[in-house]
Amino acid sequence: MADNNYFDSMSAVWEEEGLFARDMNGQLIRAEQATRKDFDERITLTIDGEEITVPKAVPQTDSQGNIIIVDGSGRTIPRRTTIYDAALLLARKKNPQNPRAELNIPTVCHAEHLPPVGVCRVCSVEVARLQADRKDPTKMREVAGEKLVPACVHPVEPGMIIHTHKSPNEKAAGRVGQQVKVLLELLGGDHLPADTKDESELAQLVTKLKPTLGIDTQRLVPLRPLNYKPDFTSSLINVDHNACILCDRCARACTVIKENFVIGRTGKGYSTRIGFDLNDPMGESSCVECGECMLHCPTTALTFRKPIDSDWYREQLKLPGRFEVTPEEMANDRLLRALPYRYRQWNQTSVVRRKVKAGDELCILGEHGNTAFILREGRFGIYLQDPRAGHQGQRAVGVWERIFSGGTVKKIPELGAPNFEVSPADLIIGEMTCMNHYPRTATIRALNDGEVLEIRRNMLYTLQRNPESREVLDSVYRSRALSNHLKRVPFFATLSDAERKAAQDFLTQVDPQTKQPRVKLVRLQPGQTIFRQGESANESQSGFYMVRIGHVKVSQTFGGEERVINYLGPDKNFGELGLLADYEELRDVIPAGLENRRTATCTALDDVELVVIDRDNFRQLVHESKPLRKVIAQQTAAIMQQRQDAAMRPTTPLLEEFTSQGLYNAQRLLVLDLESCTRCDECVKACADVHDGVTRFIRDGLRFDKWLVASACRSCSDPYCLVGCPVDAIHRGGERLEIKIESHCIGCGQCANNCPYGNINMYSEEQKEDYGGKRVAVTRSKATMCDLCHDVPGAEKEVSCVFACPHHAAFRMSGPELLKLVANDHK
Amino acid sequence: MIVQELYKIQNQHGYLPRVELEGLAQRLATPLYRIQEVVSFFPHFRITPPPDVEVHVCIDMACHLRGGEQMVTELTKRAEGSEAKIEVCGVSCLGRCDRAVAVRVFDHRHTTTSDHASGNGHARHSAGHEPHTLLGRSVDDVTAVMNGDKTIKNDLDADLPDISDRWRINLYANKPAAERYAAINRFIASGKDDAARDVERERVLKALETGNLLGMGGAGGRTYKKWGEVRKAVGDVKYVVCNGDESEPGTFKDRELLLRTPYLIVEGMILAGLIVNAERGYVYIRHEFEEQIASVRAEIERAKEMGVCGDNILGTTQSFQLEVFVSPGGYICGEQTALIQAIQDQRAEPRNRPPELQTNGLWDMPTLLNNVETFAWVPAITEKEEGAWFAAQATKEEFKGARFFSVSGDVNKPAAVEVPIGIKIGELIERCGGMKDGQKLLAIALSGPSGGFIPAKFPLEAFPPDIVKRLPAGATEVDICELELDIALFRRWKLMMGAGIVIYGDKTNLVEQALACLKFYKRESCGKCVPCRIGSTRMVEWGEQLQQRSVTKQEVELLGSSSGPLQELAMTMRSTAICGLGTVAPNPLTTLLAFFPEQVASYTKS
Repeated sequence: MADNNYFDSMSAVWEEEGLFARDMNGQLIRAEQATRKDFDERITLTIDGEEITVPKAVPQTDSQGNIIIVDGSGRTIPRRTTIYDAALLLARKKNPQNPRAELNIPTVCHAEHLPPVGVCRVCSVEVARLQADRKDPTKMREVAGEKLVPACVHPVEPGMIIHTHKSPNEKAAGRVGQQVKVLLELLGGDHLPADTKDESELAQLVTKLKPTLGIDTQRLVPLRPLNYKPDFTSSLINVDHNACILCDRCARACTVIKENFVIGRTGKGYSTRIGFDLNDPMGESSCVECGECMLHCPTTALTFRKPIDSDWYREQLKLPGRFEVTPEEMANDRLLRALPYRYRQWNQTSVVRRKVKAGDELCILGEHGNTAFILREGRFGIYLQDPRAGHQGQRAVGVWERIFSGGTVKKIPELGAPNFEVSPADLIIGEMTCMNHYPRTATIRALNDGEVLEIRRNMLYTLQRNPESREVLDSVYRSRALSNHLKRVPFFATLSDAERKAAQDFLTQVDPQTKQPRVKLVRLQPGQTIFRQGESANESQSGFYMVRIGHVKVSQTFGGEERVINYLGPDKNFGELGLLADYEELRDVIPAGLENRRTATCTALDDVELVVIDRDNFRQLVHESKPLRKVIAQQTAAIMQQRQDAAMRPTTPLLEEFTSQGLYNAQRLLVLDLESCTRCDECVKACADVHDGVTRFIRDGLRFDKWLVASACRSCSDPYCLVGCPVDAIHRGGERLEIKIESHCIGCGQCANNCPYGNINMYSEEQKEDYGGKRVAVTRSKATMCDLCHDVPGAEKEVSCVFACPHHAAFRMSGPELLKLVANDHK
Repeated sequence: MIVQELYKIQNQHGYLPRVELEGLAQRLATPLYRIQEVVSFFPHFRITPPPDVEVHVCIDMACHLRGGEQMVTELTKRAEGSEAKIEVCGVSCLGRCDRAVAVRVFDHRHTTTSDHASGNGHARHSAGHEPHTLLGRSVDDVTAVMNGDKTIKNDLDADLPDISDRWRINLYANKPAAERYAAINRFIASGKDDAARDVERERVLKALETGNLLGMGGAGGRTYKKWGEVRKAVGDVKYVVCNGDESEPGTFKDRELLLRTPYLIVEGMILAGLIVNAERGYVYIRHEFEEQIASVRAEIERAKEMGVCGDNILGTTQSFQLEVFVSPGGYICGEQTALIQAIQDQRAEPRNRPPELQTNGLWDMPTLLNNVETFAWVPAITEKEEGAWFAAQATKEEFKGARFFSVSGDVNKPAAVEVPIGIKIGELIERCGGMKDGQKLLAIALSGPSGGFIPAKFPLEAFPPDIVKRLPAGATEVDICELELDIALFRRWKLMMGAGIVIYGDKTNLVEQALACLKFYKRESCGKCVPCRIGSTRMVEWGEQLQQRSVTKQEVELLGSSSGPLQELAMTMRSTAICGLGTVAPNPLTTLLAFFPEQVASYTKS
């Protein structure tokens, strides 16, 4: 039997190092943390015969696929570019709309936002380099590595020649395709049932590549199929170890994304499985059932037990013209098909199909909402007015109340012609309030008969995890956010209509020189610095900033001591001073030595969105508008006065305290005047009385001057708690700004972790659930918080805690109101 | 910390009680799953109370050949009649292939009744942790020990005759202990400042280059190059690690070096630390080598007393802390990156490469990792004629140096032998007493199970044409006994050469042997990457089908043909597995089908 390739293949064993373990000089390459400098360093390589030059590092993204931005100048966190990243950049060049359609590197264990592990090896590619021919050193020869390398892990190096299974180099393509085929046959044989439907990423990948690679998943099936018992102990997730391919995605999702630290690998070799804590059944482990692992699972190893049972959905379906949407139907939707099948199953109750007639209202300006509308059919009018305006005295009723009260139809006042119209070509409307938690910015009404899919915020959130739908949503959001902002920003308020329009038109155009839009939207995380005091402001990247969402802290250093001199909320602007120091209107107000310098440090206090105009465009804008220059001169004088005040006065920690306690964000603080409060606890008792005997707040917390800020929900204008709820059980309710937690809360604790003030508590509740046909009492965790006595009749004027105080010591007020009160006291 | 803490808990309780693991997680502020990952990966740890008696029987290669598998069956049968709860299991190579079958008996029964009455868990179990080792004994002897007979001798490695004074590697043969560490003394004496010491560093590296010292762990990389790379690598902290995991079936030469000449290894490591500027080193030794662990630990203490190890070596500012890291077990720990992961309290799963350890090793810092024997040769090479002496040890001029081989299987005197490079395989067999029972040579495993089975004589057409060209004209076959043992030569021949050579006589049932090797790889696969985890399992299933005579001749031919599933899977494992284990795992089966068709034919279904 001479028919063997033992000797030929032995050399793979000896390949002690990869082909690119060393640089051009033969020195071993140390893997270093990527630095910002690497963004500017270029590496040229060849992928499937096409040359591409890529940066040595690419920016890190979060689980939502957003590039993580460190500060206001848009700086990002570098991550070493891998072969996969480079291939994606090449694919993006060819097809900017849908780059992944051009990508010839299949992946199973890789997810772009997770640290790569390279365990499934399905992304294997051949790597080669040019070397001088041994016999004829003048000739260069392509030498390939004995081993294929995983594209998801391997960094790019100059001169790499990459071949995927679609390479024009047929030998290499055949070699790669053959190994990918066998790997998928191994995975399919062990972990995909023979009658598999395309329900998982792995099954879909196998189906997709079957014709190209000739995959036969029945060829390498095990003699004794895996036979682990299913784990049904979790109320949310079924675990099927037989389907688990150990891609490590769930473990990374649990630890890297949610930081719950529950899932790991247990056992060794062929009997390795995923394990929870000390290999406990999932339901008995410390798992908080956030569902993150399930979203990441590329197989059917982690599947949803049953759809979320939400009140909203039940009530919706009682209304006329509302219909259910099955997971299969969602697959036909342009946007929703991007969601994993099991996610669509689990959150089926987060989507409702609505048939609408002309005049039907989808949402109202000023309301808090948590749904968006995918436009399927018909035309819709957008009105920048509140239909309730002019109906003063009549209690305005939010959309939630209307739904819960059985949908009584109100007489809808005429609003005239819509400000503009949208149609299915615009894809989606109403998404902004879901993404930024601010009230609706417009009223939407149907102009003729049509159909929409009303989806809840969690669907939108998960849609952003899919790279394609994320790109669509992001561009829709950015363009609308910018145009919306420019329409209402007070900076332009003193301009005449014509001047304002001219300014807006100028800003929305593309800069002919840089080919970039003149304004851009920048997102920041809490604590990120936008610019620092003393920094040069005279660079082309220096910008003028308008706050769209969130709060910015303005601080200055006096003699080594930092003082907060101001904080800026939505619609405020900053950064103009440094850009315009040479303007004659400003010459007198700006002190010498501060020209072209930032006069203060600006830092994001919470999640901030800024509309940014860069130096040259801003100067051009101001140059052409005298009224704007006047506005700026007035603002500047005020800033300089503040600066002087801050420098003059002795250290008062008031503003520092105010910002560090996050009070700027609060709309409904529960504060107790400690000079009047006798600690009688009547407020706590009143709270317990109206909430089934359990108080929703604690009479304790931080002091602000003579006030105790009790640990009751503050109704933040930009609530942290709403971010990332996997089932959209928490959201802002009607008119009283309260945050409500619905009964379908799964108790994952995400909101409680998010709340920086510890105002959300987790409690255990016993409930009956179906287990194999039997009703069994199980203990489930739920989140609870102050709901501003939402369900208490008569409490709309005075919440119970305040009403119950016999000493007139308890108040509800906003943070800025409290600041004013304290500041007045000090005067 | 996790691994050491787990040792403590298991030593105290005999196993790892859940409540202790939860306490450990809290103490170390570590998630429970991290503890579980480690506990469940290493065979040494157990989470249930042990039975009264545990019997570990080696079932790999030489021990399998001598009937290890049958011994498991027989002992299991005998244990059933016992009152005590006895657990008999086949385990991976215990590193005593020279005295097969190797058995270790752990008696967890209390030693005295008072211990039992007081429920003193510590006393009860600590006694059981000293295994009773039986090497090359009869089933009856093992049965007696299993049943509590204390009169039967505990076989030790120290029982073997100590011939280290005859080894060339031993620079200090027949010399008093005070003369040891000459290389360290010379280095320190070379100069006070770093510039002077750099001259000495260059000298040492040059000697290693002249001697052509190659890595003895199997890969055969050039030692001076690796040392130079770690020396040049950027990093505030550097490490020196000695790979004494020696868990490859058929390999036991490091066992002898660790036991007999620990001072050579310690000296080699300290010198390496001084050369590459590392201040900390670990000797990673498998936990089954109790005597060797004790021997190295004692030598480290002695070196400290002599002032050549620890803080301020010989009164200078140079320091080198050295300690033994006891491996929690598993063949995969011998893979260099997996070994580093194990020291870092991770599952011993090999890393994706690049980067290499020389730049990104232990705790991501530059790390010099060498085999036991590599470090042990260093003093003799640097202290004798600047490496020229070592180079001259080979059989002829085209080869350089000497090395140890572990020879086991069907030879009369299995042993770890020190031989010149270039010795013919036939000569090596003679050095080990010739073939056992007058058998004829059937096959040789040249690198434990990794290289598969190479036939005594094999037809020329088995080789690729460029190899055939090198052979004398008119030759029709190659006699393996005529091959000269040199790693570079072997590579030209596209043969593997490891440190463990197992000889099979013509009475061997190679189908059974191949299956045992396939099972070994399946058992020892870490499970990280798909090709090895699933592929090694498929290989075992095919081997079992053959062994159970459930496949026809046509099916075997299809399986083994170049486009058949076996060759395809083998190719995928070679091209895509993360580490060497997955790469070589198919070799026992592929070589069996390729070179021993008669043996295979006798197993096919008609």
